[in-house]
Amino acid sequence: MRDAVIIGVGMHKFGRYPDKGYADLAEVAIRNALNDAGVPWKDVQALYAGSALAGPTSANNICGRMGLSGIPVYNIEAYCASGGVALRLAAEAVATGLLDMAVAVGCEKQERGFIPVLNQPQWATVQGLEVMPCTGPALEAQVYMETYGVTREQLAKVSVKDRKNAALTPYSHYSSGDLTVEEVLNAPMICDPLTMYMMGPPSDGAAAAVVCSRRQARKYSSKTPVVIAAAVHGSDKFSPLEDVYHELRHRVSYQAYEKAGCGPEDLNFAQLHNPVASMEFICSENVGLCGPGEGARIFDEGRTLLSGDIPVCTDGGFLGRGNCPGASTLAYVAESVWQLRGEAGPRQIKDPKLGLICHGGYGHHAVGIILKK
Amino acid sequence: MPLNGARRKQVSIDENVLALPDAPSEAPHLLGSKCRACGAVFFPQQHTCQKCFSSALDKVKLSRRGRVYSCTVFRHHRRPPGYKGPLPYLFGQVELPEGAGVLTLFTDCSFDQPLKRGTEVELLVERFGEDEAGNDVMTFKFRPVQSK
Repeated sequence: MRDAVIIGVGMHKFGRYPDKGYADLAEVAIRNALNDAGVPWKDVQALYAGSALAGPTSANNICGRMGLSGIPVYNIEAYCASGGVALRLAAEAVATGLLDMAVAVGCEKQERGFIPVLNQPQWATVQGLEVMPCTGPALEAQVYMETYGVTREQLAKVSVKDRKNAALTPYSHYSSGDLTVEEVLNAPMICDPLTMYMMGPPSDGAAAAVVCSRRQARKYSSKTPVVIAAAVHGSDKFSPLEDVYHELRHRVSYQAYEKAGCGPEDLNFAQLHNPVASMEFICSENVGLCGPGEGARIFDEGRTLLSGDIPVCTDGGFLGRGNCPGASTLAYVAESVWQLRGEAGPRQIKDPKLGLICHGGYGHHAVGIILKK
Repeated sequence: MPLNGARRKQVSIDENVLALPDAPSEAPHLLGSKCRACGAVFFPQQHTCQKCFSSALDKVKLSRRGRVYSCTVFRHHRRPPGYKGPLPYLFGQVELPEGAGVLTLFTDCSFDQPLKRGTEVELLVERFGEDEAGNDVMTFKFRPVQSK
């Protein structure tokens, strides 16, 4: 096995684009990533395209925007982990020597409001038992808050922090960082304890990464290649009620640490799945930044701020940058590459060398990605 | 009700999930699967044991009482996609004595606050709506056990 590295990343700004389709968004992200890498489309040997909702052969439509070069095209769906799975497959193909140059892209185009849940039985859907992204996370938050004494004010502060990070991020859904704790608490209640501002806004957008071998990287670009030290994908196992979701996020992140030869204590940042505010605490525990029930404490101590020792969701994540299922993992990858290269502008953290991305996909998937320079 | 006063036929929202009684004296039950190899119990029914992957599973009637594992209230004015009931609504997970968890609506309780974890609840069957043939579609919910 050889190293797979990222030599270019690009995004289409997250937001609402009623006049654009998913392929319009994906094309912009891919062109930006290829420009960043200095790689012409004709040199790309495979396209891995992730989306939750774009549908059959959408990857071919995206390929057509770039030019029908006849390369293998993979259409990947793993809900919010779709882009992460795309990166994992591209990294694996390069690491094993199957390919020298690949593009992973994630994109989404969606309606305002709740995200359609298409895989649930009819009896659950018609009774409102599975509503994305709030019902499962709200139940999880209720149990979590009671178990560990976490307050709604603490959840509100997560939203405030992530809006501030997003305001420093040019491609995020929200551009204003002046949200207050009171505004979060007084926003319309969606599902106890989650108000509207404790949930990320449904966004349209896209993100892409150019993945290649070190040798190819030297050929095309003088920028620091970012090494994919691990890219792990797992699916759900049967778990007792208290372990549902936690087990999968824990498993993929620890498999990633093992593969990369590091532990959570070595990380300089963590980009975590935060479609709702409580999940930022819970996920930080799942990946081992702290022990069970300590997510709110390390947050209150300021350790997860951009200025802290383990910044979390440096671009604001879902709560600030936006909830764009197919694109969200690769948006974190792009942000992480910029952080590792020192190109993150006003949100740049101090000299990061190693970072984790842990991202779920509707409870059925999770990816653990470790990037290093 | 039809004009002649006859009882309309009742049908389950999903026959693989909820078994309606054949006679009024019998009780409705949720249906699950029990693994012959490891004894694990699942709701809803499974083709394969999700713990030990055995395919030898028996269909079982599940306990009608359990405890609230989690509960919340859906309060937004925007109706979730596909949802056919009233707003707001109370829902959550019930842990049955067999160990299976059931995602369910709650009824006969205040919408002001979610139910406390550990509250003892019991199964009941309510009319959910009407199908194309004019039958009453019945669904399951749980409600707090009334102390007598």
